[in-house]
Amino acid sequence: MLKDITIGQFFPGNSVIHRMDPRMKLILTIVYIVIIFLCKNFWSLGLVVLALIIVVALSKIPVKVILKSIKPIAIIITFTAVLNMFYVRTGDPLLDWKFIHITTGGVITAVFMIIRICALVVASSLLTYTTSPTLITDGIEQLFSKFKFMRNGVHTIAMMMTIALRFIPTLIEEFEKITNAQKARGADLETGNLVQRAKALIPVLVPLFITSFRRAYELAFAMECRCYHGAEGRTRMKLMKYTKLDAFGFAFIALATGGVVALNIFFQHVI
Amino acid sequence: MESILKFDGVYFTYDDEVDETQGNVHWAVSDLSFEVNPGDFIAVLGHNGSGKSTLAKLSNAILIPDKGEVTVKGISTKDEDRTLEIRQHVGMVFQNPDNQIVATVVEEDVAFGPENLGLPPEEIRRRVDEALKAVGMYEFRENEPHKLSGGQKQRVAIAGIIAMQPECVVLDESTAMLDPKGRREVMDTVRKLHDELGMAVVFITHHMDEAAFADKVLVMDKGKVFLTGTPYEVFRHVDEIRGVGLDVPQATELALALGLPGDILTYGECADAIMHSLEN
Repeated sequence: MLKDITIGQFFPGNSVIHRMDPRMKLILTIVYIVIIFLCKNFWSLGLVVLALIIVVALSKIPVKVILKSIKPIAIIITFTAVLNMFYVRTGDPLLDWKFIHITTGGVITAVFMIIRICALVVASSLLTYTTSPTLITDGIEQLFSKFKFMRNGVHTIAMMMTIALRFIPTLIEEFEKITNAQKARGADLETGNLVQRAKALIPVLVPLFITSFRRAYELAFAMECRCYHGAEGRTRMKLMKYTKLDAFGFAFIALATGGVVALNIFFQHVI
Repeated sequence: MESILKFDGVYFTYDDEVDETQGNVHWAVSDLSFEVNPGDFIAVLGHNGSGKSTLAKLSNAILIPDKGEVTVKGISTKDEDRTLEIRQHVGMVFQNPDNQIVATVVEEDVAFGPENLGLPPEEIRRRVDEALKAVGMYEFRENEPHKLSGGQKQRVAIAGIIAMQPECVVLDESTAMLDPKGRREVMDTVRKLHDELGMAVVFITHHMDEAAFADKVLVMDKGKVFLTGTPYEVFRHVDEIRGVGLDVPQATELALALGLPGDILTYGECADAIMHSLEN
């Protein structure tokens, strides 16, 4: 059933990566993305990739699933690589034929780009694979609640995300119900070209929108009845706690960062 | 004893401009006065548009009366600074369970109210567990709400209210969207809250059978209180109740038609009375 689709791309599990504090995972993912772009030679790039492979192995997410996360951006990667190959003109020339000029610098930049983008996508997917959307939302909220000036804004966004996540299955169910009701009245949703089918969706989407607004109105009442008044004076039942795992994770990424910086200094830059 | 909730000559209209001199104001409720004391179980009956839901929304400062006053434990709902306090005392459960559940996990939804009150985490945990046990949903605490049945969702919504520990719960047609099984579950839960936790209940419904459990019944018509009294006192007026588009419980109607003595509200009581009169 449509209702059973997993929201986001959370992959339930109980690995050490799953059990880490979402706040720490968020921070470490951002730090990792930064160090991907700090790499200046193949040694440091190798270290970054190695670190990622270790984390993927620890997360126990099947490699197939990981590869699937790269698939949607394969075109972008190829495009970037090809463009870099043709337009970067540093280093020694490799091929010089009519208007095509390929240099070593171009090839190296292309390879770096491919590896960097893949590492970036895999790292950020790993965050969503190992953390449920609810936890990510809570993590973002609790991470930023330390800063008074952005507390209200972050709380509002986090609350909107929670409600959106909560209502996705409800609205899917509603969508199915309305679709069936319209079909029962003779609506034809399955034949015709793209434009015709898009048009046929209008009688489904209009009632869906109207009921959503009604729902939002009622939900607002219900929230007010439960004393909701924004972030001010609000506490949480479940407070996130950093554990030893998070300390290890932190140390791991700190080591990787140190390693990248050291390798950048010791070996010649190629990019 | 101080009443928990008191309506005193309350008028309310959804019209934007109130100009009484014109005499054409459409009052959603008019001249409404009643009291809810600790431990009361009051059923409010009425057909659609009789002002039942307006009554509910007036009771915890979602709507403010145009005339007259609603007080919750001595606090007027007009006192905007104390709205939170009022809503903590008078909890409200709505008709559609889907539209009042906020979180993606049952226990986090129940925690929503106490979290808004700014309670410490341990206290919230304790209240959430207690509330879920009281409605019999403790074993579902880690489930996703959209996978529960209607009756279960509504019980979660009730748990979310009782976790705030109100003295009075207003249920605005909370059984209207449920199947018979779900209705029974919710009714049993509500009666348990009243009988075991001593909460005052205002139960708004149009199912007569559900009103039979109440200590007091308020029948509304055109925004006014039409009849009031114990269930039997009210249901004796079969013709008047029919006149405002409602029904009396079948058992009561049969008993009245047969001329059986006693306050008969349920099928059991009716059967007993018939047996009794046959034996004589």
